[in-house]
Amino acid sequence: MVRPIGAASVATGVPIFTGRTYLVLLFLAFCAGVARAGEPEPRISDDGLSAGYATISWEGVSAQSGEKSFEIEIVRNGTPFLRHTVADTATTLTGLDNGDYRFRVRRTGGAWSAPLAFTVRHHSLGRAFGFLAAGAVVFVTLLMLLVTGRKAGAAP
Amino acid sequence: MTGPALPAGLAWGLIALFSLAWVAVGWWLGRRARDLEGYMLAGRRVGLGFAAATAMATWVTSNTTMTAPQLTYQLGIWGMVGYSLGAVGLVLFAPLAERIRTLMPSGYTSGDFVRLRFGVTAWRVFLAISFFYSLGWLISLAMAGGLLVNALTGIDYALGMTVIVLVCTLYTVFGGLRAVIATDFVQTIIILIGVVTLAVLVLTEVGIAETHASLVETRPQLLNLLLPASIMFLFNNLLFGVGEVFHSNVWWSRAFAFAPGVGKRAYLIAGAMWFPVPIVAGFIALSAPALGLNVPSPDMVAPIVAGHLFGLAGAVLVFIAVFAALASSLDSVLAATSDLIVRDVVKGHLVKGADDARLRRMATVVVLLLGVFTWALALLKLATLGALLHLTGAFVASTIWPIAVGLLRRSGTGAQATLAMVSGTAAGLVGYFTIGFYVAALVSAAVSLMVMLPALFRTGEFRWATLAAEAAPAAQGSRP
Repeated sequence: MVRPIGAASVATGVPIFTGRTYLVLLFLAFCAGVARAGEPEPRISDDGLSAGYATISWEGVSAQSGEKSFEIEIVRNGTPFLRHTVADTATTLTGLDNGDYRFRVRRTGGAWSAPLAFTVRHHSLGRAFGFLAAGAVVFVTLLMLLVTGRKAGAAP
Repeated sequence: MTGPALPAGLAWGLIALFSLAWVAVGWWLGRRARDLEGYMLAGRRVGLGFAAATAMATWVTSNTTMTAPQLTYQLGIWGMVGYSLGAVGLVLFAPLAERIRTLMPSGYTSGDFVRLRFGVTAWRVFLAISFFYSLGWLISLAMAGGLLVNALTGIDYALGMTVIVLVCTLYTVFGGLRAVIATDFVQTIIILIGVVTLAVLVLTEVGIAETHASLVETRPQLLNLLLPASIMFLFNNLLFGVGEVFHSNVWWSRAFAFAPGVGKRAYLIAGAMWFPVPIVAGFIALSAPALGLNVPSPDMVAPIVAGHLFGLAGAVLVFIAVFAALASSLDSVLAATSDLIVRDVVKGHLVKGADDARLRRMATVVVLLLGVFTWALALLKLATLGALLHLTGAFVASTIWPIAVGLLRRSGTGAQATLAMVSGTAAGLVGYFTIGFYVAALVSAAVSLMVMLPALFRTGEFRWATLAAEAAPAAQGSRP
C-alpha cells in the first residue's frame, strides 16, 4: 500500500553500457548521494492505513545535526491538504478519508525529501458490521451464561 | 511543541517525592506482612472501601490515561467509547469474584483454579498465556512511564522509564499486596482529581465548537460514527477487558484478599467509577488538531496536549496523575504475577517441597527479577502502547470461556479448555497481524466460544468440593 514516488522501474531490455558510461553514471550517482545526504527520508513507522491513520517518521538529520525544525507537507488526491512546521522527527496522521496521499518533509529552508506515497482504504462497512455482529453474539452468550450458569452449575 | 512543559529538575523532584512516599508506605505496611498469606493476600480481610479503591486504581492504569487518548486520536469517537467498555470486564467479574471466594476460600491464584478444574495441561497453557499477558502489561506500563517523562520534560525515554520501574519494583518488594492496596487507595483519589480537573480545563480552554471545526477540516473520520475500524473495535475492547479481568491473577488475588461478601460490591463500584475515565481522558486528545500540535507518537498525545494547554501547572498535574496511575498498576501486576510464578511455577513445578517461609523469600526475588525483565524489554520500545496492549488481547480473550464455564457449570473438560485457549489465541494472532489490533481479542473470544459451546448445553459431573478441598492444603504450604 505504500510506495516511494519516483522509484525507477527496472529496464527489461538489454542496455549495453560502455566502461566510460559506467564511470559517468557512477559520478552522477555520487553527486546525487552528496546532494541528498542531508535530506530526511520519511517512512511509515506505524501503518494503520485501513483504519485511517499512520505515523510517519524520518531519521538522520535531527539526530546528527541537532536540527529541530522541519516543514511537512501532505497532498491528498493531488490537492494540498496540510502543511506546517514541526519540531519532531515524526508525525501521526489520523482520521484520514479514503484517498491517495503524498507526504514530504524538509529541514526549514532546506530541500524537500522524496515524496512518500500511500493510499488510505478503509475496511468495508460490511466487514465492520460483520465483526460487530460476531462481537454481539459472543457478548450476549456470555451474559446468558453468567445469568443462568450459576443455577445450572449449582452452588457448592 | 515549543519546548518541554515541565523543567527536568522539577520532574525529578516530583519523582523523588512520590517515590519516597510510596516506598515508605510500602515498607511501613510491609512490616505487618510476616507470613506468605499476609504478603500475598493482605490477610484476606480487605474491606469495601479499600477493595473498591484498589480495583478501580488498578484498572485506571497509565493505559487508561495514555492509551485511551491514543485510541481516541486513532479511532475517533468510538475509539473513546470503546475503550470505556473495558469497565464491563469489572462489572461481569463482580458475581464471579463472590463465587471464587466461596468455591475456594483458601485459594491463592487463578492458576490454582485452572489446575484443579481442568487439569495439568490446561493449567500449563493458561500459565503461559497469563505470563505473556502480564509481561505485556508490565512493559506497556513501563513504556508509558518513559513516554510520559519524555513528552513532558524532554528527559530521555530510557532514563525516565528506568527510574519509574525501579521505584515501583522497590515498594512492591517491601510491602507485598498490603502495600499495593493501601497505595492504590491514595493513588485513586489523585487520579480522579487529576483527570477531572484536566477535562474541565480542556473544555474551558478549547471550546467544543473549535475542536469540532478543526476535526472536520483535518481529521474528518475521527467524527465518523461509521468509521469501520472503530466499529470493529467496540466489542473487541469489551472482550479484551473481560478476558483481562476473568483470567488475570491481579483480579483473582483481590477476590481472595477481600473479606467475605465484599468482592461483588467492590467490583461493581469500581466498574461504574471507571467507565467515564477513558472518555474524559480520551476527549483531551481530540483537542490536539485544534491546537495545531504535532503528535510524533499517538501514545504521547495526552501529555503533549496537557503540557501545551496548561503550562507548568497542567504538566505537573498530568505528571502526578499519570505517575500515580501507572504506579498503582505496575505494583499490582508485579505482585500478582509474582504470586502466580511462586505458587504455580516454583512450587507447582520446580521446588514442590518449599514451605511458606521459603516461598515468601522467593516472592521477593521474583518481583525483583520481573522488574529487571520488564525494564530490559521496555527499553526496546517495540510498538506503541495501544498496539502492544492489544497484542495481549489475542491471548487473554481465549480464556474467557474456560474460566466462565469452569466457574459456573459442571461441564467442560480439560481438553476442551486447552483447545479453546490454544485455538483462540492462534486465531486472535492471525486477526492481529492480518487485519489489525482492533480485532484480535474479538476473534480470539469467538473461536474460543466455538470450542467451548458444547459445554454450555451439557450437564457435567464436576464436583465443586474438589476446589475447596484441594486448595486448602496448598494454603498451608503442603501442596505437593
